[in-house]
Amino acid sequence: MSMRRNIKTMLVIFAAMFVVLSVYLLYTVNAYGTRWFSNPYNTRLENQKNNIIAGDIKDRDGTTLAGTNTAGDRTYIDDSSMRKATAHAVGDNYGQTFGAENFFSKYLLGFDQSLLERFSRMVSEKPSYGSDVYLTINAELCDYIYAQMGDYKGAVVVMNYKTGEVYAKVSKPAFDPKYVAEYLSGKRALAGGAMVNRVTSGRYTPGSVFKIVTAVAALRYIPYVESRTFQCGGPLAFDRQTGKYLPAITIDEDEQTKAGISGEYRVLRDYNGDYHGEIDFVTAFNKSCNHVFAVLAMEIGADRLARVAKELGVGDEFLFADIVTASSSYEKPNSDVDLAWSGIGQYTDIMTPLHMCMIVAGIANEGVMMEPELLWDVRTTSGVSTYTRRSAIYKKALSVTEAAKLKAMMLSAVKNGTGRNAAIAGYDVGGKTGTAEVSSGAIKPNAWFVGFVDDHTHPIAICVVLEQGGSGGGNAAPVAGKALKKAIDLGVAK
Amino acid sequence: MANKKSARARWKRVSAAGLLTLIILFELTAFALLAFRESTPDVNAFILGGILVVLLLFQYLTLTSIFRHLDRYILIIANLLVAIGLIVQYRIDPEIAFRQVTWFAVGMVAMYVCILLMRRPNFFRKLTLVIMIACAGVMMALFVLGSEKYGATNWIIIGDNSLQPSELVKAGTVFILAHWLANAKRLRGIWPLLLYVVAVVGMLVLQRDLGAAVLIALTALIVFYVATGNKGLTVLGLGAGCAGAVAGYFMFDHVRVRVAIWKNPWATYTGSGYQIAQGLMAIASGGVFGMGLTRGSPKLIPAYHTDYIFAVICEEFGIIFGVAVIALYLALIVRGALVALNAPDRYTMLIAFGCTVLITLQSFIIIAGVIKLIPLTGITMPFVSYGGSSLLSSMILLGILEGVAIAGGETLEKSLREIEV
Repeated sequence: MSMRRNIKTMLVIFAAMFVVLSVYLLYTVNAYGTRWFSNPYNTRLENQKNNIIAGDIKDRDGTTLAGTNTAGDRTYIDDSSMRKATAHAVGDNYGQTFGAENFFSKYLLGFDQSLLERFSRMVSEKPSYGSDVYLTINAELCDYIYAQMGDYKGAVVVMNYKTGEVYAKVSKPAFDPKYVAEYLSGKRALAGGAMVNRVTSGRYTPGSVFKIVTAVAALRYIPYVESRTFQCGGPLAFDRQTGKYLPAITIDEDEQTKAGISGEYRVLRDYNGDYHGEIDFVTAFNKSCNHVFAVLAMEIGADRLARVAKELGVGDEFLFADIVTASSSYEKPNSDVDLAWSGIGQYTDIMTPLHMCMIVAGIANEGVMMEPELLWDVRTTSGVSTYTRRSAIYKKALSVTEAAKLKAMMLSAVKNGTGRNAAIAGYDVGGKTGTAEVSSGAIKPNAWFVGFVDDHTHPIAICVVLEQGGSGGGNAAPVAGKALKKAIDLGVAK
Repeated sequence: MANKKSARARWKRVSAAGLLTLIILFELTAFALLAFRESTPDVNAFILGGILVVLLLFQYLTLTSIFRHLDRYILIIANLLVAIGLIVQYRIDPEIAFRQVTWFAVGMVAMYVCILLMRRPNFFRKLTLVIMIACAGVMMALFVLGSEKYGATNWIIIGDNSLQPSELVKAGTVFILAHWLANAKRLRGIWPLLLYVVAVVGMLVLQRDLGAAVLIALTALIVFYVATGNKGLTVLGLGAGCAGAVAGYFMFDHVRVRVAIWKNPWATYTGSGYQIAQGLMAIASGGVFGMGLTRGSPKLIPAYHTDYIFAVICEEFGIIFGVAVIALYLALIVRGALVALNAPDRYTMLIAFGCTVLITLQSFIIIAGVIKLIPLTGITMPFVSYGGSSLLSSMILLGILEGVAIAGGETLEKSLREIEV
């Protein structure tokens, strides 16, 4: 009877629905649970703070960055510059930022303790303690980097490209965790945007560091691109209305300024008007030639460039277990001129420093991008570790050959190209500079440097962004070089 | 052959008895925990636990001794779900748990009545027109008598008690569907059914009871498909439903709000997204094994004892228990479908299946809404949620299912005996 058959069909559908329900429940709590739980709106956290003495936050060497004093108040490390340098990693006690104070509150406030522990706590009526949280950061390195950034606003992130451990996560301007209550009540002034963690939430125009993405796409989709030579003879011209590329039009710089011809076309220039003449792919990368990469972007096409960007994590909703991170974005352009600009990291391209660091780390790590880790260990007051750190692969974004090629190009960009200032004596450093225009007006461009140390004992990747820092090679690269040197000297990766 | 059969029957009894023992243990430990949560033991918790166990044993023993073909598992699972609900309700507020257990007793009587009435299914069949007019009449009367509660005008308030008649309309609709679809060959004749469904769903939408509207529309469609096997018309109906949903999205503000808070409840945390966000925080706070009974903060969530009870269960018992509750519903649904498959005729088959579909959709819609799989529509969790009308209607569905199960078993036994003779 067909009715019986139909009932069976529906039963299968119902069973599938309930399986989906269960799987979704498990998935969603696993993926978003920490984010929901550590949400500042969760009043359970505030209530628990009255019942329990919150644990300490320490760096990987055991330096106590945050603790609770006998009066039950939260205290932070005495050294005020170190306090600021680690402020964004440690966070605040008022739910204003997504630092460890908030994101790891599950451990600090003892929510991870087993039922038995909680029960004995209840019975004994002695003051109870949350667990201590150890972060992967090295406070001394953070402090050093904070000083090296000088007066610039911006972000620096240093991570291990083999494991994903984050050694430094510095965002400037920083707040002082000691005075958050006073900031909130208005007693103490706070620099604008000081609560924003620029490493994870800074959505910056990448400029030339995005050429790494374009280079990957070129290697993947343009046959023999490495053996070709290009002519970089001046600005590219595009039709003002349609945005179509006009290869026949050459724009003479003098003529342009005199007669104002540029008004007829939309123009894509190289930085400071440097043109490189006959140039091959690798040299174009080293010298960060806009002309060549704009032409390559148009050859690759918007779909393929967008696909490669997506494969490298652009547009992903980063649901890292330890760190809340904003997503990067690449909008598929509709005209030649927008495509050309998007290929050199302008147009509407947006990258977060942590993500850019992950991409470079992936190149240094044979194409495997690791998930960034901030939680090093969790220990109870009696010193028993209750957390097992597990390095996780975020994605295999590049083939081993592609990664090797990119790595060689980045090594040579530091050796002979724009990244010279990041070089360290005795180590091979690879990198790419970026000078990202943020407005056509008087504001100076943002300076970028992304790079890595090619060394088995010091597998360190770095991303530096200095807001209005001018040239990436001139200002960001030296900061990166010093930070990498310091990280090696401190032996953070050992 | 006979030996094998008796072995199976014995296994059925033993496994059911084992389950029963486990459930009683679960109920007693839960209420013992509740009794000792303060420094002075709470006698009321023991009383309520005792009442629950007595009610469970009474149902089980009376029904199994009278009706050999009763589906034991359906009865036990339903009782377990009620017990889970009562434990959480008692933990939140003992007073509402006592009110709910009264409703459970009333529902139990209703279940017995339904089982007895289902001995003569034709009795209901003759009453179809009456049921239809009553259901439609109640829905219409709500426009005049109804009071608004939780944003929907679907409550009738008599003194201290408030009733939600749409709960009973659900069960009535199953009979109406079964009557018209039992003779599926004459599709042209089902226009009164179509008219009824459209009218009821339309009225529910106007009363802003979206959950019930979706529930009844989908149930009608699924039962129609099962009865007729007509894929074309089913897809057409589904398309019409989707079109209606899209139209609703553009026509009604409250539908747009529902979708917006489903996409991102945090954006409107202080306003419309508050409930979903609180529910998610509660579930996340519980983690895998839960905060432990009485250790959570369920009162932070609006509708904690009715629509949102699943979030409270997850907070205190953990998502592992949440998955177990989902599995319990699935087991109930599978048993319900088996009852339908063994039903003696098309009419009772459709009735049993209709009841199963109602339980399926209702539990799915609310759980999926709470965990943000689909936009939230306020309906209760069958058997678990606090609410007299809701529990009563669930118990009626249970009674009807058991009635069909008994009829099916008896018919099968009779035909087997005829073969042997």
